Amino acid sequence: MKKRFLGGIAILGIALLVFTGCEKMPEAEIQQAQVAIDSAKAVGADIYMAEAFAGAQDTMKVAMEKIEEQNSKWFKKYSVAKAKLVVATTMANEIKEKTIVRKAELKAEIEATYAEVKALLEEDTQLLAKAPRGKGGAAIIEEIKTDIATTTEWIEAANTDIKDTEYLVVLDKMKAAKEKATSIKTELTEAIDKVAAAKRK
Amino acid sequence: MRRKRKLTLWVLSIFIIIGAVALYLFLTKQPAPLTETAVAREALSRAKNSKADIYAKESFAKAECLYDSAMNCWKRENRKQFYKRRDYTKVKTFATLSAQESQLAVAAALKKVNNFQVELKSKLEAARNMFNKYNSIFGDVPIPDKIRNENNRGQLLLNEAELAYKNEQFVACTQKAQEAEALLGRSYQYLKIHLQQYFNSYSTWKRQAEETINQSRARRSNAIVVDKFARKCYLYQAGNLKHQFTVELGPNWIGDKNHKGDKRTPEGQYKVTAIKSSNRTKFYKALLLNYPNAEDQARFNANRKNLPRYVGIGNLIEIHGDGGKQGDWTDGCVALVNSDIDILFRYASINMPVTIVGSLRPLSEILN
Repeated sequence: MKKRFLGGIAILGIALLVFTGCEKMPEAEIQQAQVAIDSAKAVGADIYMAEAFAGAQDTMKVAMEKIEEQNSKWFKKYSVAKAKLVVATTMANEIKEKTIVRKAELKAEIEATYAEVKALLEEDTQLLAKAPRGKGGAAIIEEIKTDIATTTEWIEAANTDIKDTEYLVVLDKMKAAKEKATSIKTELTEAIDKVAAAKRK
Repeated sequence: MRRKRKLTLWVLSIFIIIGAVALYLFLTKQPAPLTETAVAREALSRAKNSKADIYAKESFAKAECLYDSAMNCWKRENRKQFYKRRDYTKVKTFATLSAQESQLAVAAALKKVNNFQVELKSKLEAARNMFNKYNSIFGDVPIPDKIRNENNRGQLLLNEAELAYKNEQFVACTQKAQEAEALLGRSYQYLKIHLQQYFNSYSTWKRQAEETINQSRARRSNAIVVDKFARKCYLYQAGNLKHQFTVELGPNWIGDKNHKGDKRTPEGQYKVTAIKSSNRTKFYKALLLNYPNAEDQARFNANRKNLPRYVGIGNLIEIHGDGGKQGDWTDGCVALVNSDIDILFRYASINMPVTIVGSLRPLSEILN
């Protein structure tokens, strides 16, 4: 009787093993991929590498669907999902690195443009000294000084406390200021040239 | 032997029963929602590529939420041990709705981007045209620092908005274009009001200039008309335009001269009272005018009480040389380049009429 009972239990156990499948959910891989995606986002991948980052997120979604697809089956095989998760993790890590590089490039570009604008404004100020002066020329010079002051204020404000998420915005601000500083330089150069031409006349 | 057969039969029956129960319990009621979720995910990805997350925010967020609900539902169903009890209807519904919403988001985003491109392009062009149109005037009109500062900031924002447009950042572009428009609009509005007030005297200017030209025609004599706004000096001979020269004025040239030191060039009908050659003026050559005339004196007397006691009406207003400095720099005189004053000198005589007006063209014509 005891033998029969044990036999029954053993059979039931085998049957349960067969029906409940074999492979375990790739929890570690999911965790790894999610951490990689989160850390890529934390460095600003969604802003500076938006398309590539969306691609990584999409791969993660595909992986999760593959997992649920297997979870819907009797015999679970997570190899495809695992492969996708590895791809998502690799993608996210690469994107993170690229984002850091891109941000450094943008920061360098901001610094270079800032220096360029500063130099242009310095040049404008020096040109002001050569600008046409008459009895009332000071008023015109004051006007141009206002232009230079506004532009200087603008770049200084843009260059202060640059947030990690704002490199592109700040770069555009610097470029806009560069355009303005260049137009002041053109205005001054033309005025100086005209005076020189009038003197020659 | 009989006992063994009995045992086999018994084991077989248990197997069959367990198998039947298991088949009943674990058999999936319906297929997993693979297609629906894949379609929803792809639609969501398309929506993201169309920048629906920026330009159709609500719709995109809804689509994303529906996809997440589908996935959560799917997980929940898959956690049920007995396959028979798993129901993917909701998953499929959520996924289908997500795909539909994504499509709507794509359409809305594309429409918005298209509208942005058309509207912003014309908005930026209008702002740039406004800037170009007014900027030449703006540079010549004395403007308070605050207004000039606003104009500068407006110009910087317009540059920024144009860059944002180029980079297809339409939301940022809209915001910057609006700010630029407001700042530029405000400074140009100030300019417009300022000029409109100034141009109230236009009919007088027109009449005075016509009188001078007609007089030149009738007397077959020479006359000078100075257009302050155009920075031009016209020399008439027997009513015909003989020469025109570029001039420079006092920096506060808008308005009539009221008193000494206001750096304004007077407006009115004057006469040459002295012809000064190089040894009599520090400005190469000069034609002295009879400023103040009776009208100037009367205006000065009327305003006298508003002025400090030591302020006089001023004098020594001339048309002189040494011009070509760019900008307006005189104390109220009219400056010409030396080669031009040489020409003017050939036609000049004592009592030669000189009419100085704000403008010969109406403001509407200048602003358009």
